Amino acid sequence: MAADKITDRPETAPQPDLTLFVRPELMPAFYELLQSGVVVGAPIGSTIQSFLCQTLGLKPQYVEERIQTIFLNGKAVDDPASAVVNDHATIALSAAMPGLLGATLRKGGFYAKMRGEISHAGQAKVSPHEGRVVLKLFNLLPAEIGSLILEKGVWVDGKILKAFFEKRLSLFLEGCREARLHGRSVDVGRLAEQEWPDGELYLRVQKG
Amino acid sequence: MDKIVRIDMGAQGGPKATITPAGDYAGLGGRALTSTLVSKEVPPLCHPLGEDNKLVIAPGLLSGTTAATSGRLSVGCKSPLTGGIKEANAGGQPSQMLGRLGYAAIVLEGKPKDGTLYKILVNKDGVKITPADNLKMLGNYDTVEKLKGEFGDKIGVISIGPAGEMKMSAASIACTDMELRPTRHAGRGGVGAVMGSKGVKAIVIDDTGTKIRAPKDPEAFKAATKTWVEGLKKHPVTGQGMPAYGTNVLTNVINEAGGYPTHNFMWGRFEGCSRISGETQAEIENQRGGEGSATHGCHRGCIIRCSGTFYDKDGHYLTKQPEYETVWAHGGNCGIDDLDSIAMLDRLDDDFGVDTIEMGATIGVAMEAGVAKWGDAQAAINLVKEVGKGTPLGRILGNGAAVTGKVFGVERVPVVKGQSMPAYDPRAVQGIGVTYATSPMGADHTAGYAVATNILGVGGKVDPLKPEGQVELSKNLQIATAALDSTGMCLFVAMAILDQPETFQALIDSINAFHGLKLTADDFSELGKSVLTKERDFNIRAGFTSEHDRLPAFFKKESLPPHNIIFNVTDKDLDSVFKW
Repeated sequence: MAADKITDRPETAPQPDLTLFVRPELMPAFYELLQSGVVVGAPIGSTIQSFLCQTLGLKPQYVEERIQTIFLNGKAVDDPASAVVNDHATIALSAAMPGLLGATLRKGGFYAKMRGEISHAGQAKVSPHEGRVVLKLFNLLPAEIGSLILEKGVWVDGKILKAFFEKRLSLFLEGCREARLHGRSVDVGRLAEQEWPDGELYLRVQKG
Repeated sequence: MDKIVRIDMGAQGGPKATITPAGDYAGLGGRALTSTLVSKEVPPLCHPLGEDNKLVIAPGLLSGTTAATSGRLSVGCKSPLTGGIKEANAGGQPSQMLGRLGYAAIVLEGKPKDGTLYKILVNKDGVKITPADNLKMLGNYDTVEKLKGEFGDKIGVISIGPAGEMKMSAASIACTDMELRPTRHAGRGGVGAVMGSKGVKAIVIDDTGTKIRAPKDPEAFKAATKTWVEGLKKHPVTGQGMPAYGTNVLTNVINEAGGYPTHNFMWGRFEGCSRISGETQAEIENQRGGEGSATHGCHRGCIIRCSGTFYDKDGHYLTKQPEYETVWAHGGNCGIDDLDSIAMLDRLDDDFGVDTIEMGATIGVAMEAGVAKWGDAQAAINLVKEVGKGTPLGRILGNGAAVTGKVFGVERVPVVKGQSMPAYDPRAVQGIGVTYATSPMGADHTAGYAVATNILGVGGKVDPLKPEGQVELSKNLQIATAALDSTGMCLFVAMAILDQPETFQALIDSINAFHGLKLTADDFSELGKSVLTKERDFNIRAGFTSEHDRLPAFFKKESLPPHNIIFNVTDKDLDSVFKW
């Protein structure tokens, strides 16, 4: 599935602060982080379509067929090729959703009129520059593309990371082969006790 | 399904069952049958708990056949909650079993002269009604255990809990699932209170010795159901998303849309959403119960399998996977972000026999009144326990959000026609608000589901961009849903039907091949229209006017964060929904 979704792109990520090497069965533990939102670098002023395909490396067909629901700052997007990414935007992605509400929120859906008041409409031009956005993945997407996003690296707030490890310590003890903080190996068992800084930490997760 | 059994609970000498041919109701199933019978035979001005009301239990047109996902049961009556016509719908095993026994409906009529509680056994030998005072005030779980002990484990059970016996307007009717647990509920509108008023604690169904219903054209039926199954399996919602995460997969998305009613419809976003989402719920279920615990069908033959099993921290069964509506009602609506507490609330609701939506909305109103603090899960659990015990506070809460709001002086009560709104704020998705306002059922999210109305072309082709688009869409969806509710099919087939015309055609072909008919898509929509027409007519005769087709005033005045919008569909537009 990964080969179908990701196109090759140059590696430009900054030096990570925390790198985790985990067994594949631990990946679902990260889904809650991906649902709440992780921060990723983004070309501000580009379209959502461009962000998904150029920056995240998703194939256009995957975006077209699999990502059925898109929100930009809480508004439902019908045309990702025209919706523009602004700095500190929140972009949420989901696979097809059930029921009437699922059909209503679907991008370009027949029932879009039913949610006209929360549909993304035209926006002011944004001058292009590199920035950051919050990315949220819902439904089947954390399982399908979550590991690829985490491999490339995300920023996560230190407090959120601490709570994350505290809740899942026993899973990490079993499923995390190695942890490196600022390039140096640390005891996996100490991840929950670590004094994580206020503010964001760069996290990479390598599966294998 | 060519016979109906009428059980007169107030007959001289004790309850009496009469089995007759379906007669005027032949060829009808599910909601079409319940609404037709209720609108014809129940005096609209009768007291819902009186002898003149009737409780109609009807499987769908395809229940008891090999058609996949056809096991929904409809329960109809005059509702004690809304005062209008009601159809509530449940999964579980009973619909398939009643279908195989050949019953188009069970109709409970009259009212016992004394306080005796009864159980009813329906099997291939007929119908037997016996006193059941040993089941008095038992929860649904204990009731089913006792009945299992008496009748064996090949039965299905339709039962009420203490809430139904106490005739509370939020009382549900439970149906047992494949594991013989009372987890599937005809929840809305107080149908459990009507069953309680008839003095019936449980209906035991035993289809031993029966066969799968045989189609008129076996070859055509086989071909149609094969296409039907293929369609459901290949669609990403019915084939992947729902089996993996269930309906609670909606939590994150509705929250992101700013339409997730939080703290009694005060805001459209809940900070704790990801902690109670379907994705998180599935992770917990699979960790505690083993891989696959988050995937489960509520009846045999369901291939969508949107349900699951929720185990407690020690790995013991607690309840079925709570649905989106339940997680919202007891979760974000009350400020609670702990899935274990929500699962416990679900268990209590099922056991006492109350509608989880009504209960959650009621607790939200109670929290607004200061009866409990927002987010206090233990307090919410204690309030539901009061309902089960029938304390004075419990009796108030057990009669729903409108009554609770009145007693505690709360203005912001999210009900239409007395029934609580489900888990989508109408200010964010105004089209659903049109359905809430105008459906004969009261605030009901399932009343306006999508069944390829673009293919049906009901009401002409609709341009979704036109201003009148929302009203027209709601009308079309209500028509289509009324038709679908008559087939016994689960509403979640709607997504596959919406996207795949061949799958919708397979549904029509299945009905035609089974019953020897030649229905078209237009006939399907005419069925839906006729059901809605009867329901509207009943409500008008019961005293409803256009003033009842409105949302509470605060939705037009209070802006909903984060989008800061109000409900702005005009009354004139709402009044145009049913002009056809």
